[in-house]
Amino acid sequence: MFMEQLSNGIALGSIYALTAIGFTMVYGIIRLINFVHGDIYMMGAFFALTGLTVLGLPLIPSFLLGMIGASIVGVLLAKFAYSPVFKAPRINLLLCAIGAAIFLENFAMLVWGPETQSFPTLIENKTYSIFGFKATTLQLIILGVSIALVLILTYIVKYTKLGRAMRCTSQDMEAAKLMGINTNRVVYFTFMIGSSLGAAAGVLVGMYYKAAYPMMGFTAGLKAFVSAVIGGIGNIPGAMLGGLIMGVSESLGAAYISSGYRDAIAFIILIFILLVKPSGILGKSVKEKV
Amino acid sequence: MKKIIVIAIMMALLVTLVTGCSATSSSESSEIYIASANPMTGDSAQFGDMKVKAIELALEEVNKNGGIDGKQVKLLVGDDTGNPKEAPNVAQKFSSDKKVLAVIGHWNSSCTLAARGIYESAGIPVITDSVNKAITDGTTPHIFRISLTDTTQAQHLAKYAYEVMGKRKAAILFTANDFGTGLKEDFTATFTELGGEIVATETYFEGQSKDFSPQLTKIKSKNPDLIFIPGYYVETALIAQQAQSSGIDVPMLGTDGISSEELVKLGGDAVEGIKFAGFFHPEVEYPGTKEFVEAFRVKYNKEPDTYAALAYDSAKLLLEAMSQGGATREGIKKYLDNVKDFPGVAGPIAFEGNDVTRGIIILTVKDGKIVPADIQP
Amino acid sequence: MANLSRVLFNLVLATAILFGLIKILSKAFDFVARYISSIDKKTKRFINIGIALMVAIWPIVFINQPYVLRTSIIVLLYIVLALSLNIVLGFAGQLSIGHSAFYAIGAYVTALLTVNFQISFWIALPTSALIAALFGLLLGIPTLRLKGDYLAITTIGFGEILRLVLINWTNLTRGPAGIPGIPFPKIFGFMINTNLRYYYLILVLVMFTIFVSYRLLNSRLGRGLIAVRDDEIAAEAMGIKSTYLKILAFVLGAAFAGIAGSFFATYIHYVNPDNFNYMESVLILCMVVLGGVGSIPGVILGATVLTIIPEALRDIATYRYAIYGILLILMMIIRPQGMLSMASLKGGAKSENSGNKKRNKGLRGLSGS
Repeated sequence: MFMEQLSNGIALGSIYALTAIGFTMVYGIIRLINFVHGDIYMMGAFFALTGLTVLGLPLIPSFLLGMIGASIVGVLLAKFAYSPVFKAPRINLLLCAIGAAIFLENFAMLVWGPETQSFPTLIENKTYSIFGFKATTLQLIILGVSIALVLILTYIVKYTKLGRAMRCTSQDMEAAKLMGINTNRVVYFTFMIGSSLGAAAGVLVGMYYKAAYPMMGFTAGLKAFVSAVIGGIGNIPGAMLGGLIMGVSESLGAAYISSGYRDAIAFIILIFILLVKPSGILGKSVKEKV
Repeated sequence: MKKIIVIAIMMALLVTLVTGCSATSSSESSEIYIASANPMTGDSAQFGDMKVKAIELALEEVNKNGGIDGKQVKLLVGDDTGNPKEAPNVAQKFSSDKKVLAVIGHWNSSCTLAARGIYESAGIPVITDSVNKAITDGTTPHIFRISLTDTTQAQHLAKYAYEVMGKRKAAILFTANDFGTGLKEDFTATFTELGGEIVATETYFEGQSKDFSPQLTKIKSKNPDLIFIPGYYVETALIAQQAQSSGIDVPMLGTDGISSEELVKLGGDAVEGIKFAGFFHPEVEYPGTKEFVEAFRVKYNKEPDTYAALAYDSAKLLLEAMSQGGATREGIKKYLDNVKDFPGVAGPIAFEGNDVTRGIIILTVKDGKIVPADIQP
Repeated sequence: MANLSRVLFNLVLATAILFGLIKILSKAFDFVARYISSIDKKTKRFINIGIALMVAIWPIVFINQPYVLRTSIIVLLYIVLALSLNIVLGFAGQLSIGHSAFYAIGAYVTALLTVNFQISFWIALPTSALIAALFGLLLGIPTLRLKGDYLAITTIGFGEILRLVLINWTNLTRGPAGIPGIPFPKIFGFMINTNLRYYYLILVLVMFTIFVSYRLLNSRLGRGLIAVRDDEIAAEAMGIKSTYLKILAFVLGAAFAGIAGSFFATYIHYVNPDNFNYMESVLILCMVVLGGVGSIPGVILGATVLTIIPEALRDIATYRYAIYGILLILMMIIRPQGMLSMASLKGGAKSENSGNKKRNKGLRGLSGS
């Protein structure tokens, strides 16, 4: 049973990882706990679902529609909700994010109705089994997409000009501006990428569970947050690692401790890691200057 | 000088408040009001939405035929968000509004439990469909329950599982709210009393859990011959799918919480053969069932589920009570106390100790359709 | 799609109306703040007495309107909660998003003591505060190492763990079924069993909380806390024991939240884990920030407004929370310092911008890292 539970955990962990990557990316640049991320993920799933069922598009265009739609929502939020409060205390930004999350959840409920909608089956789901590990096609796709995204994003942030601008902005927005970086553009771009990543996760997870509903982003957002913090917030490979740790510990915890305390196990690990290494497993600790 | 200004401002404020509030309370209208207090936002919004749709349908039918004593009946919709913190506020709002004659609601047992004292002290009759047995413990004679208690339903189901299906080793996967916990406990009690064994008990959270593989893997290792799932349709559909993909081929038994077309839409072929309790099915016809299902389909382009049918019956019952017992809170309560064999679309209704007397229907999914099972209890 | 355009139209309309309203109200708040900071002590006391009188006779005026009375009681309850968080967030500058955990502890301790052991409410109330304070100490200790966002997620985790314990420890808490039948409090044979009596009970608790908040703010400890909030390193250099003060803030905040929980349990007569979820913590946080972090009149106003608005919007059931979300965003954009901010009450900040910059620097510690 252990191997089976471990593969359950890795499958679940790759879902968390996928959601956490977009989250940690936005955090890395803007230092904002993006409470909206889970709801962007939900919007992505709903846009794609609209593409599939209402407009009758095939899978790939619907997937793109989900990503584009969500990134538009993300940029609109950045422009109208976040950028006016960048200069205010950080906590205002946090509250704006909370407000936006509440708004999006209820907006989706108004537009698409509160009921759970079913995702059509598009990819045949076969089960593969190697050395006692079990995985379905979609689980493998999710794991593959997460790894690919980690690599691509790490490349963008580390080796491109835009990535350098992003890192500058994250260190000191004012100084970056003085150095001729269009920080506004960097911020919008970050939101665009972060949101489309969130949407990709939403669509894949929607397909995996064959369901989409307005409140689906709430728990997902929280889990993404926890994964990102465990791995070291702002660190892209860290988000992947954090997601996997969460998935495996939840799965093993539910199996060997109690399924009722499943979510608590994730949080206990989180608190433990923070107490031992406050910046997360792969995070760099920054000394405060006097 | 300043002091005088301050005093004047304060007096003015107070006066406007007093007059403003007394003005709103004294309006008399030629319309009759009933209220729905159900979750319209939040995790359980879909259930409240269904109920309101059904109630509106019932009111529309009556209003088209001239209303009650020439008065139109209107529905006030209150949102309790499925949260027991908000429910008392909604309850107080409707209770203190003299024009509201009766309330249909609180889908969540926790909400009904939190709010029932307020309804009781206001003497406003309430018809609820929440299942926790504590709701009708005799202290609140104004709260009527139109669905069965969790205990009765669990007993019916345990007997069905043991006697009709012939199962001996059951595993339980329940949703961690009052509904799921109550059913889990009562099912366990009856099933073990009959001689069966509960081999595994696992849990999850409604509206939050989507991955059930650890629980299912654990259940699988215990080799049950039945999985009992007290919960709602979204999670049950997911459980069925994940059970299928992890190779569990064990019959499943559910509660009235999954008695909805959505189960089949979400679960696809994974829910084929699942058995569950219901209080309503379009094919189990009572007077009016056919018309109700037809009207609901035409108006909303949706299949009515158990909650819709019960809400529709609640509304019809209240409307009948108004025309028979008079359009007052006391009149309605009196009528409900004595009602016998009211023709509901989900079967005849009578209350005994504020609980409805009705049986359950065992439903199953066959070829992608919900149909009554071959053998009924 | 027709649905989409209708929803969009309604929401845009709501946004426009709210935008205008908040702009106007913002001016009004500025005026009030300027007025308060300009008046002399004597008039101030006079106004305070006036407000106290109004609050005292309020329920008598509305004795026949239980809904108004009930809403007023809930407002007062949230004032206690928001002020308790204000001690942690406003005074000590520690971002806690798990405050409902302490609220839950207070409610459950009272429920268990009064239902299982028939202990009087008057013993259960301080016991609840004490046990909540103990948990506050427990949560306060990690703050020695954690800052800003990390602290925030730790407090969220704490709140969620506690809620899961309440759900799963069914032998003690009856799990998700909750604990019904919490009795009315009795004092010397005088039963508190009507809304009117509950109103005065919670009013006394509010007075006590306000009193302690003010005393704390103007004491050595409070000054120390604010120094820690503004710049921890500088404060330590001046010889302030920041560790001790931060834990003290958590303990005090938790104790008051416990008191609020205790009242809630006896008032609703039913506790359930769903009452104390993460959104509840967020709601309390919103009250503090919307009112003005650290400003006692502001926080009171914030709690009042954020309790009344959802009630007022209850009739538009489905649009309710969407509009609530818009309101939060607009408030943060138009009035980032909160309705009645600390700086404006002292008459310090003339223009909003200068005030912001000052606080921005001070609150940077909130983001930490």
